[in-house]
Amino acid sequence: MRPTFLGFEASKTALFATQKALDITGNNLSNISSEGYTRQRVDQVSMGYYCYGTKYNINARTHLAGMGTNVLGISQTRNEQLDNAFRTQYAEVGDYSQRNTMLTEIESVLQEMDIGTDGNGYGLRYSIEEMYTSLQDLSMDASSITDANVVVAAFTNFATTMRQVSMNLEEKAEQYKQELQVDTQTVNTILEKISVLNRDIKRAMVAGGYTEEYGPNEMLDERNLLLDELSAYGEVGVKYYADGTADVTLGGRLVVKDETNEMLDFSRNNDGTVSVRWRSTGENVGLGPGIITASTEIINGRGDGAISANESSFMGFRFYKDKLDELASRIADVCNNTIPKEVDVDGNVVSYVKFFGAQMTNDFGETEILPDMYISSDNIKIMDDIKADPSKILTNNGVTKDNKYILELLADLSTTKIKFTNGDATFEDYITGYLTNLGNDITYYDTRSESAQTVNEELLNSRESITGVSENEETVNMLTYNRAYQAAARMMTVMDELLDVLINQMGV
Amino acid sequence: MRITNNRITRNYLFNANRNLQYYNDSSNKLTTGRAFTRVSENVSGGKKAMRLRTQLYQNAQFQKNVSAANEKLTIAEQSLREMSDIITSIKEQAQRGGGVVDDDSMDILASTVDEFKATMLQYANCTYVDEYVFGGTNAKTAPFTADANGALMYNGTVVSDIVKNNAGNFVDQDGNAVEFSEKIYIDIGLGMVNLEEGKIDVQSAYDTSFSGLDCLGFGTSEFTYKNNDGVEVTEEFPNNIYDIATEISKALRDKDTQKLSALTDRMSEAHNNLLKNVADLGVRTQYLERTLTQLKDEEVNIQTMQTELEGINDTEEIVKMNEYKYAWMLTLQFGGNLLPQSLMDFLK
Repeated sequence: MRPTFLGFEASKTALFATQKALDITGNNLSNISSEGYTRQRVDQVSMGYYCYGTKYNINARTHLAGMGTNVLGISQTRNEQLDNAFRTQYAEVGDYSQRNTMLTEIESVLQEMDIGTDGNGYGLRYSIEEMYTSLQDLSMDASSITDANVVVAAFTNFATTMRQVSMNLEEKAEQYKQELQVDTQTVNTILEKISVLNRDIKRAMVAGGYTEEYGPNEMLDERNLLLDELSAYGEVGVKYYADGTADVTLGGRLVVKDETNEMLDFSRNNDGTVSVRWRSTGENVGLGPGIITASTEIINGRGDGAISANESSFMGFRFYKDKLDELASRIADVCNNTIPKEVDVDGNVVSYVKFFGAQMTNDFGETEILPDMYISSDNIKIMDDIKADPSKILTNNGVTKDNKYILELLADLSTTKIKFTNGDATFEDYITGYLTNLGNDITYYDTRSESAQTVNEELLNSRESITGVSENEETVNMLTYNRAYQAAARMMTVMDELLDVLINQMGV
Repeated sequence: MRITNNRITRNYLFNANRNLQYYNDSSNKLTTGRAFTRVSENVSGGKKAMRLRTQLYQNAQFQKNVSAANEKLTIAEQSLREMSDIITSIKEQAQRGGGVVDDDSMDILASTVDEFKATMLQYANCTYVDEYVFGGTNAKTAPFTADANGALMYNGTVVSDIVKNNAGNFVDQDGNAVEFSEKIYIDIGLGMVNLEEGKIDVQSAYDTSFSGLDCLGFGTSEFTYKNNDGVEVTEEFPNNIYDIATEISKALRDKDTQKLSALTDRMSEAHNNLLKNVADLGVRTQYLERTLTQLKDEEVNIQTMQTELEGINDTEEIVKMNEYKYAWMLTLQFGGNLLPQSLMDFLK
């Protein structure tokens, strides 16, 4: 026995279903450019009513067939593998780009190749060139006060350039430290948002009757977008649960579980390094490749000279500051111990003319320049007495043209292989050395960054082809559902006619 | 694979940006005229370029040094030639005095010799810029002066007392070094280095000092001659031409003809010594001129290498830039049709 009004029900379900499908099609089209939107589909299934276990044999086989359609839910398709692959790749992109950017900025500070506006350039090599040429001119006439003036001016210029470069490097490092601080705050915000979403999704799942297959799509999209953003900062791993929450790991460590999340703390250490730590345990983070790791390693990077546990063995800011310091110290060493000031009667040197000293501020806030303290790139300065009276560098007040000490200084500045910690080299070769180092690093990370980005694009394309909205597809759907709606409405009319015959015309 | 709108637009942007980047890089190269402005753009090239720059400025300095040294030695040569002429004149006066002449003429001859002597002293103290050419390392005072007795002094030491010690340095009778008699070296690109103990390796520098003592003569030496009385006497004659001239003048006044002729011989010896030094100088200036030519050639070589390394080939670069510009125009033009028509456009 067929229920009388069954037909209406079936068509009614069709009307609702197609209306919903059109809604979803409209939704897809309006969200075609929304970031992180995954296309949604209406899952329709034919309604079936199967009873078993009752004592009445209702014979549902024929009587209850044809119940119409049921909208199971609105699904979205995502491919978890692609998501993971994308996030891993994105972390690499973030890492290499960050390293590339930071190292390129270090190179701008240590710039030597640019020839500037007068064709001479303005780096350290040029100031050494000036020292050299002025000393050569002095060696041709070792009693000339004019030439001595030029020499002192060249040496002063060197000290100034050195301090300038050192200061610029320090400022760049500071700038990146602040950026790192902002980055850790960003990560914290993301983690918090994810945990809040976890809570909301869980509640929505319960309240809205969502299931694992048909979840709250918009919130899921939002969470995925946040996870993508997070993956630039470190190695992200996700695990989904049936209740809708997701466990997020960062660098292998659980950072979001259910509604709780971990936080990162940024701190500056006494030795000038920075640390990013987990708030709960205080340990240093190890996030794997990503922006945070790249940034920290380069800021704390001291290369082979890493002594404390905080410093990394990457060749970063501190490494190049060390190089500058060593250069300043050695040049000051050579210049301060070659030209004699006092010679005793046997011709032995009693004291040397000191060109450079370390500028120190004493307890009273006064600055003095001391030649015997350790001279580094940020405190090197020309001695006041030399600056005031350049003729002091002349032997015996310029009464002799004996220039052998000047020649010694010249040879030391240009041809002698000075002892540096990493080997012997002339001063200019030393500078070339660390610049080549830097250049090689930049070339390497530039290439890796480019290749990572290309792979990234590929993955995005793959992901897009699964999750993206295609205008053609939606249009076809639109036509289909429109038709279906018309058909259902027509069906309704037919059913009505049938009943009309039955009720109004039979047995009258 | 499903093609979505987003994919089309994103790919377009990615590639368009790349095209623009190529175009930008190329136009940068053209406007700066340099193949790279940072070491990271071309590491091995950058390293070489920096070395070449160093070589270039050092070369320029060497040329400057060599020219200056050459000028100084040329002036020395000229002075010596003048002094040589004076010596010839003095010898003439002495020879005239060898013939029979009266007292007045002798006096005139003697006075002439005295004047020549003074001129000679002037030449010995000649300067180049502010430097006394024959002064060794003396920067302030004239090197050759006459003491109270009229004997020639070099930087305060009587020249006749000076001898050369075993090491080849000038010392006085007590063995003390003569003041300001050190050598002056300059760097002309022979690869000047310091020895292990920090002193300059003199083999790697060029000695531009010029010893006035060697040219004018120093110390004394014995001379045997028959004096007016026919007795063989041995006297210590000074070796330097100034003191010899003094003796000649005295001999003229004393009318000691034998001594006069002995002194004239002495003077000839000293003259030869001077001429030998002149020839020496000639050789040295020739060497310096050769070095200068060599340095100039080197300069051209280095500059050529530098241009090849750091410069760009204009034609090539312009062609490349035009290619990129064309690619960019294409990108823009077809970007207008970026999103092709979809089904939506054909619905009624």
